[in-house]
Amino acid sequence: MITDIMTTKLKHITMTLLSLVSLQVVYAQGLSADDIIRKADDKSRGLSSEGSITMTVIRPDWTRTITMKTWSKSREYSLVLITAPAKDKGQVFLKIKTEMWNWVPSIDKTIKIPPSMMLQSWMGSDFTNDDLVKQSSIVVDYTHKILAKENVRGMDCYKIEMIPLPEAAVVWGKVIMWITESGFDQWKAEYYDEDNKLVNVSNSSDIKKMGDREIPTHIEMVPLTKKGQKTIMQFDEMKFNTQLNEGFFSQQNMKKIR
Amino acid sequence: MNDIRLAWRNIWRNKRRTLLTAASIFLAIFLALLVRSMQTGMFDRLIDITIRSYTGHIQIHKNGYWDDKDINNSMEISDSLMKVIISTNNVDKTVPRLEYFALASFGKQTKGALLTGTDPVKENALTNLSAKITKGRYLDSAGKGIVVAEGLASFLGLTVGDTLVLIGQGFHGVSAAGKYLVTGILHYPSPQLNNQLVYMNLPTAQDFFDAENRITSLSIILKNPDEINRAITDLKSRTTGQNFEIMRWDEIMVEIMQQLKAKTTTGILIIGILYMIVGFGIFGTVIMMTNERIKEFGVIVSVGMQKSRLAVITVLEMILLGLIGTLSGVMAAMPIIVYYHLHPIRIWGSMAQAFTSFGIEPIMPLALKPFFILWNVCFILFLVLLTCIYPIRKIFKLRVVDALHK
Amino acid sequence: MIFKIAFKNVWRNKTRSLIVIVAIILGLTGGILTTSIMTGMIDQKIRAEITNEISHIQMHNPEYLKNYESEFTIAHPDSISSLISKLPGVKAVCSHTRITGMAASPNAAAGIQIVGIDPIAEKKVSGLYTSIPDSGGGYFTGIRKNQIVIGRKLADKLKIRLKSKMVIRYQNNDGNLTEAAFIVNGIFQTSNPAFDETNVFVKKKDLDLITGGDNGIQEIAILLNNIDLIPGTEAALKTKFKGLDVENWMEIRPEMGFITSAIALEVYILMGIILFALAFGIVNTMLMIVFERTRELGMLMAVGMSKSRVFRMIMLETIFLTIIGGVIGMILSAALVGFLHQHGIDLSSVSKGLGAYGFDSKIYPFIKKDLYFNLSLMIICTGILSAIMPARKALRLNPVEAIRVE
Repeated sequence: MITDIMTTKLKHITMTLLSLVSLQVVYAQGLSADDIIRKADDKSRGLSSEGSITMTVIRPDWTRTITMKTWSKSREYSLVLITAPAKDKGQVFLKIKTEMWNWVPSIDKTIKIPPSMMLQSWMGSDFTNDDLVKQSSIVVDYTHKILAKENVRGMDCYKIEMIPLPEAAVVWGKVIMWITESGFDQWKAEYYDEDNKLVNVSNSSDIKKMGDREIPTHIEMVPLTKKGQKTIMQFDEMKFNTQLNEGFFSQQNMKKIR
Repeated sequence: MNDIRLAWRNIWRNKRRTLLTAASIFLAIFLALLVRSMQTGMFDRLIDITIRSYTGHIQIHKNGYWDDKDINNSMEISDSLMKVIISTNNVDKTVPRLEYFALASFGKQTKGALLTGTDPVKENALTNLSAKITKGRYLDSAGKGIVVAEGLASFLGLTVGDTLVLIGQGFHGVSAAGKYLVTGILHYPSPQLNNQLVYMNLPTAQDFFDAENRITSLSIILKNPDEINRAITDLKSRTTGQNFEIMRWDEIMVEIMQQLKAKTTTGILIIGILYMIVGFGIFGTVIMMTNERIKEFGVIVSVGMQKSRLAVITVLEMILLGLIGTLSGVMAAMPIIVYYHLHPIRIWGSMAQAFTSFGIEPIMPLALKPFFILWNVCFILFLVLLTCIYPIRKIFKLRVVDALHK
Repeated sequence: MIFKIAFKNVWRNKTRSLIVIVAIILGLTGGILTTSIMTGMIDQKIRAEITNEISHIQMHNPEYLKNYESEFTIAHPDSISSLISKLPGVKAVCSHTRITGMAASPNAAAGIQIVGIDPIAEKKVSGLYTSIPDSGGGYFTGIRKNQIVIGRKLADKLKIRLKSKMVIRYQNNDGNLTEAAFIVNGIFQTSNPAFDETNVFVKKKDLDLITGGDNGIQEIAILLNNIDLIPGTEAALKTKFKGLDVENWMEIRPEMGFITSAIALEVYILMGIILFALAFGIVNTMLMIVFERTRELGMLMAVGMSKSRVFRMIMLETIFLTIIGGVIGMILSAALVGFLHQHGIDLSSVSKGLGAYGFDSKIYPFIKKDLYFNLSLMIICTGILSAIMPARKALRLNPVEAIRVE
């Protein structure tokens, strides 16, 4: 009788141990490259967000700093209000799906940005209008593969190779992204052309608590083909999953927002 | 120099022969001069039209602008530097321009436009822009009104008196926005540009783009276009350290240069054929003249003159004939050339239409260039000397007995 | 009788006759050769443009031509195309989707015209696929989806090459921004860099799939059997399809019309000059001949030949000489043009770098039959008419004095 109880107990323990082990294994295997990227993408966006950002445009012979308030919902809606410098203050950019509008208070006019201007730089930075409107998704348009784990600037990261799907409207030959292990933050990204030449690099840093999560608040984007040029985004304030209706994102609201 | 006097007397002994031979030489130089001056005139005119369309003879930009026509690649030219440029040898006029893209919006329509800020008077002196105005007025130096190209105006649905909104990016990334009164509409021959161009005063453009005192290009018109390379060298040496790029018009208007190069080929063919024909005319005349005088030569040699001396005298006669012919040819051609140089020929018919549809006046002036006159005279005289080979050979092969019996 | 005398006279003094004959040959051959070279040059350029870029005739929705907005399609393009292909003189018809868009690569972006085609039908109308060199890939070879064929200039601008990926963005007819990736299958190079820089070719099928609907047909291109059939076919098309705009290559590319006129002008001038030079030269030569034969003519008149007969004799001699020269000249020039047409003439030595300038440096001269005969006839007539004045001079000779001339 004791032997029965002991056997059962042993079985129990074995089962528990085994299941723990398999749980571990399952847990490790379940974190695929796709998952990692998805988690990182979702974290950086949330379902909606509101905040203020300072963007610094650095060029060989000049520098410009712009501050703005931003509102966004899912991937489809966003509103940007420029709050400084004086000459640009009050301008509003509205994006709904793939269309973009610009309200300029000094001339009291809203214009829709035509497709031909979509590849022009936004506010003089290294981002284009199109980058803000972008339909391509780091999750959907690429296949992902974990290359290694690396420590970049003091953070342990998954080094993930992203190859665009043949039909994806993405110009890059490949993108390498470093996602932090602990926070699933986009820490560093390298953009390559088809000849494996590095064209753009973006580095994130300065993790701080913003709203309900901790995210990197300092992002530097460097186009390598042009000397002495970069754009820096600094998140001054950011709240996630705030209450925002789609009705908020309208042309009428562009004129009212402060 | 007895020989020269002898040659001279010989010529006038047979007036008819002299006249006919000289006439063939006269024809050669006369036609050669007219054709060359017509060709050169046409060519120069086409070049003139090209440079007047936009670039001038030379354009100065900030180094790197031509490859990247960004407003941040604009340059600032101080008054003193401008004085240095204008005082450079051969520089006649300058046209400063600030050009960049912006969005033009009217009502519900928005379209990309190319804004050109320029000095209205200087621009007009180069490109005759005011003649392209179809409605309203041309730019005036004081005002803030703008002139819009027809194609763009009709797309946006605006006309003179409407207010056009311009939005864009200015110098160092500053946002540019403004409202401007349309004071004129113009028609530009190139359909592409007719859909894009907006002209305004230079200060107005500089204000819009927040680019005070800045321009993207300085076009330079020379007094003497033939000395263009020298002018470029001079300008370069006087503006070292300014980080400029100084370009020739044909480095900028490359495609037009293609067409012109093709034209010169046909020109060379034509003049070649002409020389062949008139050259042969001279040759033929000389042959006949020589043959006619065989008996005369025979007599002279039989009387004791050395063949070599006879040859020399004959050549001297030819040279004198050549000089008479070319001189009279030049004197006959010059008045015609000068007249049509000052009062260009009017082209007519369907060809005139082709010219005017491009906004080009259908006239063709004849070119007046002392250099090519000299060149042609020398060439014809050279041909004359060549033809002397025939009489010289005949003289040396002369058998007195046969000659006397002709 | 006069015939025989005239004929014998021609052969009696070979040198004199030869000079006149050679003058005519030179004039004729020179004129025809130059005209054929110029015609060849211009014809080649026109042919290349028509074959590779614009076809003989294009048809559009008139609204489309105003601002090239792709929503203005041609209704019922398939039935229209098949109707057109049945018209006499039409070699082939094909239709294009044309949408303005942007192309992007990792390094650059550019504005482009997206042309959606059916490669099989397209090859019958456009020879563009022949301007893809062996190193330039293929023309929609293989079965991959989303292949694109672009010009060399665009490839360089975007810094991409064969098999590179490029992203195309455009606004479809509903106003939605659409984008897709394409793989470069072939890179072409025409002599028109602007064409190479702007036009990209994709399969209409692929484009429609990406848009998620039919993009429609904005342009119908028509190739005729012969360029001379244009006026007739254009008129027929305009009557049959009143709602559509019909344009021929000259209206689509007015610059070519301009250049053609300019070269035609040169040909007229050239011929005028040649005729003038020839006439003058022959008058000159014949005068010399007449005076040389003073004794002989005097004798004839003394012996009883009437003045009118002497006149006719001289004219007949000239006619013989001119016709002999004319016939030889015609045969010679025909042979030369024929030979050069087969083998081409390399003009790059005459005008360096002609090939780099958009005109092929190898020219295939040719001349139209009626122009050939007209020119020859004009030259022969000029020769004959030029003899009238000298012949009349002969009549003024006083027989008595004539005999006494040494």
